[in-house]
Amino acid sequence: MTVFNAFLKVIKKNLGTIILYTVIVVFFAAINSRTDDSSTQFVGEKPDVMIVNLDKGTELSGNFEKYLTDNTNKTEISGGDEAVSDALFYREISCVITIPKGYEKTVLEGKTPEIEIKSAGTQNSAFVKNIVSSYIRTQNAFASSGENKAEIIKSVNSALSQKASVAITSKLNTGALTKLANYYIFSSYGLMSCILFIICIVLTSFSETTIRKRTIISSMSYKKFSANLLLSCFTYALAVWILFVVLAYFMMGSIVFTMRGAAFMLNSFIFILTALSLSFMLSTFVPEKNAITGIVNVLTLGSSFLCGVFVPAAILPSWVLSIAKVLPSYWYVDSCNKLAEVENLRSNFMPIVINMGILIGFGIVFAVLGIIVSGKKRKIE
Amino acid sequence: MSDKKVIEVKNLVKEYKELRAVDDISFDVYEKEIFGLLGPNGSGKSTTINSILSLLKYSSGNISIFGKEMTPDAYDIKRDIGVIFQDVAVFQELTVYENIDYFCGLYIRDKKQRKQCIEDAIELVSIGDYKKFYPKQLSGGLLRRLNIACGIAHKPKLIFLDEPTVAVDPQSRNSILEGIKKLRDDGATIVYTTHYMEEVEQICDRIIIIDKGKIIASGTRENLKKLAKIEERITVEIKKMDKEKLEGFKKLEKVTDVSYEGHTLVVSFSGGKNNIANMIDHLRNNNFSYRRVYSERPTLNDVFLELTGKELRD
Amino acid sequence: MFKHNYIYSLRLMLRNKQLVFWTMAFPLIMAMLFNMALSNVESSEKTEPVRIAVVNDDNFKNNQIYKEAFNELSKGDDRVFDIKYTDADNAKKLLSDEEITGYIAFKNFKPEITINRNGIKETIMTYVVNEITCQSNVMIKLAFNKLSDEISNGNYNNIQKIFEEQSQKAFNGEDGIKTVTPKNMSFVMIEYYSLIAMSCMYSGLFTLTLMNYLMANISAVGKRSTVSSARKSGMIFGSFGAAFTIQLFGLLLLYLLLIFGIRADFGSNVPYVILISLLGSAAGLSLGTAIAVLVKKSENAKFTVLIAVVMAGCFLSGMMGITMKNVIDKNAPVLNKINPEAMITDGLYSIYYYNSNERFIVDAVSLVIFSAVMLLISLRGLRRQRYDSI
Repeated sequence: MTVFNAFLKVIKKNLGTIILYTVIVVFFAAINSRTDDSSTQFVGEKPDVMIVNLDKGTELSGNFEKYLTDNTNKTEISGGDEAVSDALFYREISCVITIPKGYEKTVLEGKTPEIEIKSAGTQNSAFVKNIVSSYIRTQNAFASSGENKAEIIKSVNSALSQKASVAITSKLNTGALTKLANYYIFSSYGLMSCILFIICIVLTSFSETTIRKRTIISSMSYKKFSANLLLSCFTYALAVWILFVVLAYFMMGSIVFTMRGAAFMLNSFIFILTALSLSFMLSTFVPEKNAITGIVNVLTLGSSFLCGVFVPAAILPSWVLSIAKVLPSYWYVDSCNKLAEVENLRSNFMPIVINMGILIGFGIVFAVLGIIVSGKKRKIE
Repeated sequence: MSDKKVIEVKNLVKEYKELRAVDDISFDVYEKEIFGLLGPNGSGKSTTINSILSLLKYSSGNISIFGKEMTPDAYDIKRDIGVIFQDVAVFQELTVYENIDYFCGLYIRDKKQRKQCIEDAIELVSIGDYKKFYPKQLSGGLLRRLNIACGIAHKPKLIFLDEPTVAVDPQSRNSILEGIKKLRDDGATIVYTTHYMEEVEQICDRIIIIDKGKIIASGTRENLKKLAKIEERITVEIKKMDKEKLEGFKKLEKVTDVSYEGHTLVVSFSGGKNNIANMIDHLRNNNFSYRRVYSERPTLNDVFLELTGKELRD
Repeated sequence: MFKHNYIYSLRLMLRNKQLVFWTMAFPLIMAMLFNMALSNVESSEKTEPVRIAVVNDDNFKNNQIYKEAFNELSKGDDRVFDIKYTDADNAKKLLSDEEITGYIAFKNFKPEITINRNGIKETIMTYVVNEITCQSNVMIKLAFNKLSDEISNGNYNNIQKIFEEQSQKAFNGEDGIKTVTPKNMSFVMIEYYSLIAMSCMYSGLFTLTLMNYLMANISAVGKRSTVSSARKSGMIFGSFGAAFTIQLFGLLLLYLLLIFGIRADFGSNVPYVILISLLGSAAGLSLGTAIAVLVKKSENAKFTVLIAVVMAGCFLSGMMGITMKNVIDKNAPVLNKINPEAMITDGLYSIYYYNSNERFIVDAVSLVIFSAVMLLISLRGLRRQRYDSI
């Protein structure tokens, strides 16, 4: 109990840090769950587009605009030119389509109107370009064969409405699942930081020579002391984990407790165990409190960048991912991604189990290294 | 000792909410004397010093140093003051030499002059062998010596030392006390606060005893000891004793107090010149088997005990 | 007093390992990490061929238009599709194994698409197939019109030619699109700007440490400094000057790494970049001073507070998710107005993207105001020479 109390005191002292990281994770998750199409994901069925119709009122331009609206996600950007430029830069919209003045007149004369597309140069904007191109060419074809306005509209719409039937095999609610996966992925940064930081500080405090000497000569057996300490650390990690899971529930609802959600939970639970083990190893390797903050930050930020937490794994260069395999976060993130996409969980669970196994392996390796080093240190005294 | 007053403190009061840490203290310090403030922990010594130095806001009172009113921006006064605080005030990232150089440099601009001052300071506290060491590498005693060097390198005329020998080994302590005496001999006025009476007895010319923010006694060593109401105390190691025999001692001349504990008999005398001879006679006459006998003069602890009913080192 | 304190402040800072790490080494490490992670972000924005399968049964084999169309679409370096022609069962398997985005089967000459989920690749696939359908319909309709004209005039010779003409019109017409891609669209740069901002703000650690040394109620050496005859203003300026010097040096190293090592782009307006860096550093230094004076706890606590504030600012200005800054601009712009890191990041962004004056000036002035406010807050604490308790 005494050990636990001392532990609690350290936590109290560093409560600010814990709150900070938690807040960051919550904030990020909240933002993510509101925006349906976050451009960091580069996933969206309809590209976001801003449409400027300078020929408003004419039927042909109206039809064109309607077609665009049906096939893209029409977005209004208020705030003038600068806001539009910002939106393009941040990939909030993939392009701005401007229907020129005199559009209808030009078309009816049998000529091709000039459509200006301000593009962000992305895959999405290339796609939009194709949509526009298709419409204009179709329209041209009919306009140049002498049809009148009403006929043109009818023909173009008819031609463009011939769509192939599409069957989606997935029964997954991918939108919600992706959000859940993103939450868990990003929370790895928060979890890792909270656990690494606090546990390292506690363990280094307890292993400071002065305190360690006191502990060793005290009446509590060293084994009992270590066991107590370990239990306290584990309780703390568990508490943090529960906190993050509860937050997930508040933000995303019951999906957190479905079968798949449970798999996410299991994955993150194993992750915190690995993090605990890592903290233990770090505290034996680096006995100074001051150095710990620096190292923990480099580790958490580094892992988060290289393993696909801040930057989606799909975008990371393959050589970076190979390096990232050395870090436990990589395997955690990989499992999260698989869980979000894999259609049939039951038949495809093996790779995820392997990943979890690797995580546990990491944990064991860290623990063993830590024990070896701390054993050596005790003798050097 | 000169007649010139270096410090004049009049009716100094410092209150913290309901508590009066310094309760109407007045005293003067004369040039070239070693002035001692003696008192137990929490009596208000450091508060008094910090107030004099204009570090602390005080509730009321007048303080003048070198005849001028002391304020936070009295830079001309500050130039001639050196302070050694209770907590070691040195930079961990600078060597011994660099530390002294830095602090001396806050007072003395001229590089050549400063260099000489630093060498003198190092010699005074005898840390010449450690010039390039970092504070981390020094023992407690050496650290205190460095602390002192930093405070006096600029050759101030008035030096405050606030409990400079706490947790210091005897060798360093001695060297420190000797150093202080030398400083005084070189012309400085010293104000020395401590709760160790042996030090005060060793070096201070005049002493005030403070308790709970008030001065309860002041004067020279000898004057103060007279307040103790005992002149001499004789201690004898005696194995066997009983009540009757104990009473016998009380009948001796000038005996004020008799006590026996743990095979040790302690008899206090308020005066008399042949007390030891009388004691030994008495012991022989009554067939006591005794071993060691020794006599002590009263200490300031006795004075304090007399005045307050408690020990200095409570 | 200035020179003496300046030199010693430099020594104190450079010998403090923890300080040097956070302010100099950490940003460089982060820069390299960013580079590793982000090197692919923009190249991955370019189009990659979509992998699909086509069920190669008689329905498809007899469909001339689609056969030719698919052939065209899977040729060349900028092809749209990578196509596997196979049977129905294999196609299903490929899809469930996630080897392809989707497969197409033909029924009655109409294509049927099966995909796993809705995503950009799936959308492209669906779209292209629809496009072929559409264009072939167009061609047929146009040809039909033309043919019925010819036939009513008695011309039977030009059927082939008519089909070809209309096909040409339908498939290869002009679209009149003018694409404009603004310059400097690399939004990965935001990460690097955010890093510069972080480095500027971490300079607060210098002033934090140095101010602690000057305050009597915080450190023992502070007591010494206060009772000495040295003018406080001289000491403060000396410390500030030293902190500023080291900060600029560290920032320079970071810029060198970013510009020459990582090839980050800061636009073409060098004087502005220098200006915002100077102002940003000043903001960081003054933040450190304010924390030193305001936070009444231990030295370690102040350190943690500063790091926490800086990291939070980093997060809000886009370091951990580039779009964060934009999201805040839209939903809680006041945050960006008081976050100095957002000001610095935005300033650099406006130089890079807009090359404009107005926005940059707003950022620069905001930084000046921020520094002034921080310094005013600190002034009271710094000036104080007598304390209520020590």
